[in-house]
Formats: sequence, structure tokens, C-alpha cells
Amino acid sequence: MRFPTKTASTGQTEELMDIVQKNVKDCYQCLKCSAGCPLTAHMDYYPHQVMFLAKMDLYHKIIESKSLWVCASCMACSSRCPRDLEPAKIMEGFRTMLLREREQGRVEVTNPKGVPRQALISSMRKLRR
Amino acid sequence: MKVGVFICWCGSNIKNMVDVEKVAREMENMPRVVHTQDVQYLCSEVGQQDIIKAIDKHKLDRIVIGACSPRMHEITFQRLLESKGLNPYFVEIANIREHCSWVHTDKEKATIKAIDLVRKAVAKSYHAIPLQSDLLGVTKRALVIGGGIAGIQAAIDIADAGYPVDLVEKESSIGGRMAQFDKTFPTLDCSACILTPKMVEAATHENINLYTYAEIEDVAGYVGNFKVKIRQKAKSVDPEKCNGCGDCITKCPKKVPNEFDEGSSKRKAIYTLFPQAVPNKPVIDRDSCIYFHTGKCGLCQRICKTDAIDYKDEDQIIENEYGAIIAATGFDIKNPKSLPEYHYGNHPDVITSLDLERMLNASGPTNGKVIRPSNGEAPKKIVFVQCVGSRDRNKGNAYCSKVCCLYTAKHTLLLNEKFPGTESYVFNIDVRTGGKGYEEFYERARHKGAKYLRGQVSKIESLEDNENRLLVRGFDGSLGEQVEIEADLVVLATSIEPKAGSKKIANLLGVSTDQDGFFSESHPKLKPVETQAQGIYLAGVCQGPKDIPEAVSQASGASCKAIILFNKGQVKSVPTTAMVNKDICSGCMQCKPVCPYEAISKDYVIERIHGKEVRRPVASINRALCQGCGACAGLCRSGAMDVGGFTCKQIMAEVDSL
Repeated sequence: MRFPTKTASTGQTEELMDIVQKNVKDCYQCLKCSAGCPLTAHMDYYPHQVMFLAKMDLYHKIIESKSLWVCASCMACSSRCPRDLEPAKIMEGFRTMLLREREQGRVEVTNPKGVPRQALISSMRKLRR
Repeated sequence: MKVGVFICWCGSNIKNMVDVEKVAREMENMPRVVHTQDVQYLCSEVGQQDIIKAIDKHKLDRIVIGACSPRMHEITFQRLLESKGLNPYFVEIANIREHCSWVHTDKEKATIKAIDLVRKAVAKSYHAIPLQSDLLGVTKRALVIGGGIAGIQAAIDIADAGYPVDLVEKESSIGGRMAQFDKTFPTLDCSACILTPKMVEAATHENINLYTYAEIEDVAGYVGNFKVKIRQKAKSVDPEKCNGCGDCITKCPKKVPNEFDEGSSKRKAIYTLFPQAVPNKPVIDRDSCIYFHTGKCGLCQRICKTDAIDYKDEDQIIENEYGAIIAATGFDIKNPKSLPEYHYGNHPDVITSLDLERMLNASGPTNGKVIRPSNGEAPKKIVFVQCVGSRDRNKGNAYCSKVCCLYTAKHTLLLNEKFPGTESYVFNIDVRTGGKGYEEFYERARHKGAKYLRGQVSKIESLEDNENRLLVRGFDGSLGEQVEIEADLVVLATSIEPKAGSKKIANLLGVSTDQDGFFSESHPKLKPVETQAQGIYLAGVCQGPKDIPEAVSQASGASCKAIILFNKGQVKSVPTTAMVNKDICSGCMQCKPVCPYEAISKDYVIERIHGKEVRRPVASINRALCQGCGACAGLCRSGAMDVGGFTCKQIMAEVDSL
């Protein structure tokens, strides 16, 4: 199979960088993240493969994957990455990017008094454009 | 005064970003410049000949060069001037490469900047004064700090060359880490068998003085003339009287953790480090000894048949002068307790590679048997984890420890050989086999049955079954799935770190350390044994992780540098030091406290003033210690202090020219 050229636009790579603030190119495929992930049985791309795809700018594979939504954000991978790349954060970064794109980031607050301020601020940070 | 200006193309390094012909042309307008030229490679023979021809033709006495950094070729051009009978400090170099062509992308602006830089250098050269080096004598005696294989090799080389060496070792015996190992890769030589001949040679060589159980207390002086204070710690045992019978050790009632076995066994308060220790005379560890704490016991003294135990022994400070010092302080390994996912310290069957090495060693805590520390039984399934704390920017050291891939392969080989039927699994990220015979060694380990799994271990936990085994959760990159292994023993290949206390030695010597604590060499490629402190050299792992052949090579290299120094018998001081005009100096001595090298002292001059003889204080510079930093010159209120090669007149001329 001819190795595909990158499918991520510059805008997408910049946006991911803006959200996660991590240099994905540092990943040296030690496989420690996949070793500790409790949900690999239900994933099509393992965490280390998601990191590899992100490194190679093949975002479409990640976006179309099951893994992105199976990830439970348990942070086992993030706590063990020797390069401090936090795969859980990268996954969250992709989910955030998708939600923003699909305009599903608009949250309707029905009871403003009941929402903790922390939740408002964090969702604003995550889903703003 | 006749100035010649030479602008180098440096091939295309300068030429493609600076209009070199234009720079040369502009210099023709400067006063006293009688010759300008642009040359393709000034450092080449052709370029050097061009300068020589110009000097002959125009009777030049000042040379200005626009080229690469003086760090590259200042010495080349200085030598050229010397060969033509000119003072070497009449050459001035403008850096139009690292400071101009290499850092800018606009050719027009870069050219203007280059013209400014060369013009500045020409203005400076008008005021150049001749400078002379002093010749410093060299004490032809070397000091080697650290008695491991690197220190021993360096000492033997210098001693064989005919010069006296003092070898100072912190522990009670020389040998270092190699004495702890069982076998060495890739030859599988018994480590002690190849080490002990060298240890004996070092102990019996007529030119080597061994100071064991001694530490460096203070270092002063400069290259060729280091004054060092060595603290010979009180051994409490008279080595002349002791015959090494060992009765005192047998009878001693106090047991403490044995550092030689990394804490996995006990030693007595009076002890020798290992059976082949050199010197093989015990010392008393006063921190643990009952007598030195409470005044009771004293068994060893009563038992000793030669009356060698001396409780009244005291630390001694020995002062010596040395011409060169070699630092060979070695390494420690990182404690993996700081990486909790590996369960080290929580389960006795998670050990480090050095623990395993000690078990394999016949004089180790288990007499050569590899057992599970939890129940003393032979392990059947052993899991090795690589890169524990190495290559880990997050919670460990960012660098690779270089030797672990090979020593783990060695461990799997030794286990398969000594205890057939054991299964070994190695979790690795990469297997680094850079040395001679190393790839073949790795192949051999795989042929003998070691199973290498490309992937890391995420967690190790207790299985909590009847046999108290461990569960290793990792990933196999080849099959592409998570794997779990039920292990009897887990061996962690932990990161190498500089020896604790080496920072103190570095400070005493005035050698800098890098961000990981390893000693900094002068140039990582071309000067791996020298430091920026002249006369101080490096050998072994203190400079960076390396294997035994590299440590030995580096030790021979460092000793060679010391031998060169001794053979020459004298060393040229760098003449760009501070200079004091004693006529103007008021003797206020405000300069003395700012000198970081303690090079300034108070001196007296006797003058006739108004017919009377007056004795007044002035500052005096030790030109060997002075590094020409200029702090004193900047501070001097009367303008009496100046720096050779960078005089106030020269600096003001540079500023005025811009």
C-alpha cells in the first residue's frame, strides 16, 4: 500500500496544537500507553496507533475511528508516558475539535443558577473557537 | 603601522549571504589600511600563503581577518604571525560567519553588518599591544580521583610513562563497579578475573600511590600547579600490622546493610568490601561500630593477634602538589521507587539489574544462585523491563543509559546457561547494540531462548496467588495486543546517573556539569577527555554513560593528555590576562573581592616621592590564575587595571567606529 500523504489541513494541525499544547512528533512508540489502557479490547486503533496517526497527520483515520469515543479518559496512559505527551489529552483534543466543527459545542444552559461556574468556564475553554 | 584586511568566503558559508568583495573594498577607505583581499578559504594553505605574501610585500604589522569564529582558527592565524616574527596578538578577527552570514537571511543588510564588524576590528587593531605568554612550570605528578576501571587504567598508563600518580578512592578498596559484576559482555569474561590483574598492578606499581578510604578535601591552584588536600579517613586498622586473617570480621557483632550488594545482604561494622579487595585489609565503619557509639564491645581489638586495631586512629589531611588531575568518579543507578507503576519496593521479587548481577556473582549474597527474594526458590519465568527511568523526560532521565540493552541480553544468556529451563521475556522499546560484537551477542541471546517483546510495561502488580507471583501488564507491538505475563521475578534495567557526591568534586575542581550532572567535556566531538579547566581531564562514566571498552579507551586518552603536559615540562599561560599599571594603582584593593579566580593579591612598591622613599600597596595579578574576565578592569576607579587583548582603548575605539 502506498503510504498515504497527510490528510490533515494546516488549520487542523494548528488547532490540535492549540488545544493540547503537546508536540505529538515526540512520540517514540514505546507502546506503554497501549500496555496500560483498560479498553483496548474494544478499540480499533490502540492509543499508540492513534498517536502515530496524529504524528503522521492522518487525522481522518482517527476521526472515523471507534477508539476516539471508546476512550474513557482514565488517564492511565497519560500518567505513564515517558515523554509526557498525555495520549488521553490528545484524544480529548480530537473530540473537542470534532465537537467544535460539528457545532455540537453549543450547550444550552437551562438552569444558569444550578451550573457550577467551573463547568461553565471549562466548557467555554474546551468548546470555544 | 600598516594594516592588512583579509575577508574569507569560507566557501559558500559567508559568500552566499555577504558580499565579500564589497566588504574588502570598503576597508580600503580606512586609514592605515594598505592591503585588502578576499580569499576563498583563509584557513587553507593557499589562504595562509596569501597572507604571508601580503605581509612580505607590504610590510604589514597588523592583520584583520573577517571569517569564522575565532574559536575555530584564532590559533592558526596567531601561529602564522609568530612564524613571520610578529606578535601573535596583532591579529584581530571579526566573526562574520556565526555572528552574521549564518544568522541572517537578507544579503544587503548582512553585508552592511559585516562591513561594520570588520571596521570595528580594524579600529581595535590600531591599539593592539604586544602580549607575551609566561611559561609556567609543571609539577610532574598526577592525581586520579576514583579507583574504578577508568581510574585504574589512567593511573597505570601515567605510571608506565614514568611519572608518579596518586590514586584516591572513596571506598576501602579499588575496583569500582566492575568488582560488583559477574560477567562482562560480549565476551562473557568473568569481571573480577579481568579486573583484579589491573587492580594488583595499580597496587604494586612503583609509581602509583594508593589512597583508599580517602576523599578529596580541597583543590586550589592552576594547571601544572594544583595544590590538593586529601582526607585519609581513619581506617582504625593499621595496614602494616594487619595480616588480613579476617578474625575480626567473623567476631564482629554488629551487622548493617551491605552497600556492595545494594542493600540485599548484611556486612559487619568492620569489613572488607569483597573477597578480592585491594588492599585486602579491613576498615571500621565508625558510623555503625558499637564501640564508637557507646564505648562498649572492642571485640575486634581483643581478637586481633597482630594488635592491628587502633581505635585512636584519626582522619589525616595530606597535602600534595599535582600537575594534572583526572576525574574518574563513576556512577550510581537510579532508584526505581520514584516510578510507582513498577511496584519496586512493594514486592520483594521486583529487583534491579544490579541486584540480579550481585545474585549471579559467586561471592554475592546468594553465592551465585538466582533465587526469588520472597521465598528463596528458583524462578521459572523472569521478565526484564528495559528503559526504566531512561529515555524518560517525564519522571526520569531524558538520555539513554547505553549499556542496559546489552547487559540484559547478557543476563538472559547467563540464566539460560546456569539455570536451564528458565523462560526470559524482555520488554524493550529498541535494542541498542552499537559496539563491536554487540549485535551478534544479541542474536546469541535470542537463539538461546530469550523472548524479546517490542513494547513497554505499563504496570506490575502482585498476583496474590499461593506462590506470591507478579503480574506484568505490557504490550507486544509485533502481535499488536496487550500481553500479561505471570512472572516469578521481574528485573528492572534502571537508569545510570552520575555518582552521588560527584557534584562536590566538580565544584572543587572548577569543572562544569551538564543538566544531568555528568561532567562537561571541552568539546563533545573533538575533545572528549579535556575540560574547560586546563589540566583537568575526564575518564569513564562520570563524563557520560558508556561501556567498559569505552571507559578504558577514554582513561588512556586522559592519561595521554597528562603525559603530554608532563613531557613538555612547562605550559604556556594565556597572555590575555588583566594587567595593572602600578604607577596609577592606588592600592585600594576593590578589585580583589570581585575576582572569581582569586587571582589578585596585594603587593608593595617602593618609590621615591619628594625625596623620600615610600612603600605603598598596589594590586598584583597572578597571571596563571587570571582568566581575563575583566571584572577588575571594569571596576577599577583609577583606570589602572586593564585586560590584555581587550584594553579600554581598544574597546572605546570599537565603539567609536560604529
